[in-house]
Amino acid sequence: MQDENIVALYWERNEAAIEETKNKYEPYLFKIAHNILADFEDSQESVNDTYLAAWNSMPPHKPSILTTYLGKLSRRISIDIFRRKNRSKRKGSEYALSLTELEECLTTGNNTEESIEVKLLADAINDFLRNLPKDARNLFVGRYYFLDSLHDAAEYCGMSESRAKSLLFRTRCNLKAYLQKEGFEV
Amino acid sequence: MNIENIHDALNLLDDEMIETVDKLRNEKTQIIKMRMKKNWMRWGIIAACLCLVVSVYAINRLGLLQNKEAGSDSSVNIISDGTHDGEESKKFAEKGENMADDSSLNKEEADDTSFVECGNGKASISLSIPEEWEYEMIEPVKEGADEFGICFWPKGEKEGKIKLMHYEAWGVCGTGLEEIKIQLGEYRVYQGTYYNKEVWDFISFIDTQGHFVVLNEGANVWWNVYGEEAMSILATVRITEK
Repeated sequence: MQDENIVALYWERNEAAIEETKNKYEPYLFKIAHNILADFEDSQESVNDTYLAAWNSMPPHKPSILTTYLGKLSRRISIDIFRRKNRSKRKGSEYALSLTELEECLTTGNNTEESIEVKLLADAINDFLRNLPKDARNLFVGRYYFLDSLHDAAEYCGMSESRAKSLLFRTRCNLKAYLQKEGFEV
Repeated sequence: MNIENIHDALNLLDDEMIETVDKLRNEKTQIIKMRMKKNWMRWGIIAACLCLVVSVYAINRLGLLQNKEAGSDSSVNIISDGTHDGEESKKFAEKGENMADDSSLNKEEADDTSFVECGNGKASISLSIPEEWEYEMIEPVKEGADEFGICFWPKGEKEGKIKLMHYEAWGVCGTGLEEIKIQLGEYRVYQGTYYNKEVWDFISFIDTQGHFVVLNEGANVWWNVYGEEAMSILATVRITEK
């Protein structure tokens, strides 16, 4: 089924939308989730949460590229699951627990400020990436957005692993310099 | 700003950039799938060939067993045809069938055959030679000498012999030679023919330690009449090695 039709099903509040999404995008979403979580059950949970998030967000959203939209949802949800799991792992240590509690104190009430900061950071990264050569940009996105392994990213970008490694290193250094220049504390 | 903020920010990347990379990833996945498919096909073909080879081998073995059960020491069956003489192999395939049938004839005529044995103490060869055939023993020149054998020909024929020999060493020239692998009695042998002649020139035994060989010494002159019988005599060969 075409993406527009799937989106239309979401807008009609037709539950077949989830079934169609599952049929078409489950492996894709699972790969994104698994790259982050490296666990079958957690990845499955993330994919299911992605369907729910898609159901809850359409409408009002009407994505023009459904793949990317669902991928972003899956990535965000997987990162959230990863953070939650890591937090629960740290519970054993009192030191780690106090850090978590203090972290909560620091972030409380600053959500808006933080999301603005993230938005500004995202704009800066977008600008930086737009000005990169195509190879370096694709490799950066593959490695840090899709979180593919260096081997895989180098392969689909058509370069050797060692070249990819050095290219990523240079890109990270340039990004750091760029963000500092833009006034971010790095 | 911490590392988590960067990952959150990356979630807001331009869709266009993400889509470009996504296409690259899909292409790669498709290539991998195609490779896997090719690999499966390759392994499938290898497995099929293996099955075929095993089946052919099993059928051949079964055929041999049946021939043996029919009491045939004189069976001659083609194991495999090399790249050489197709007609020759057909002939022997036919002979193999005929000789399996003729095995009863050997039993009936057992009284009219001579059991001939020749050896040097370390190895020996024997043949069952019918009354209508003449033979000659080629004894070792001294005890323990490697060259010995049995020579036989149809009674009344003044020219042409078949020699079953043991030599210290045996080698052939490859020029113009065509070899096919056949079964001679209970032995696997190579039958060699030079320059597409109608009748073979030598038969060498594959699985024996020593160099046992059958030579065609001008037997072409009577082969059309006595060839089949000569092959059934050769199929009675017994080789003993210590």
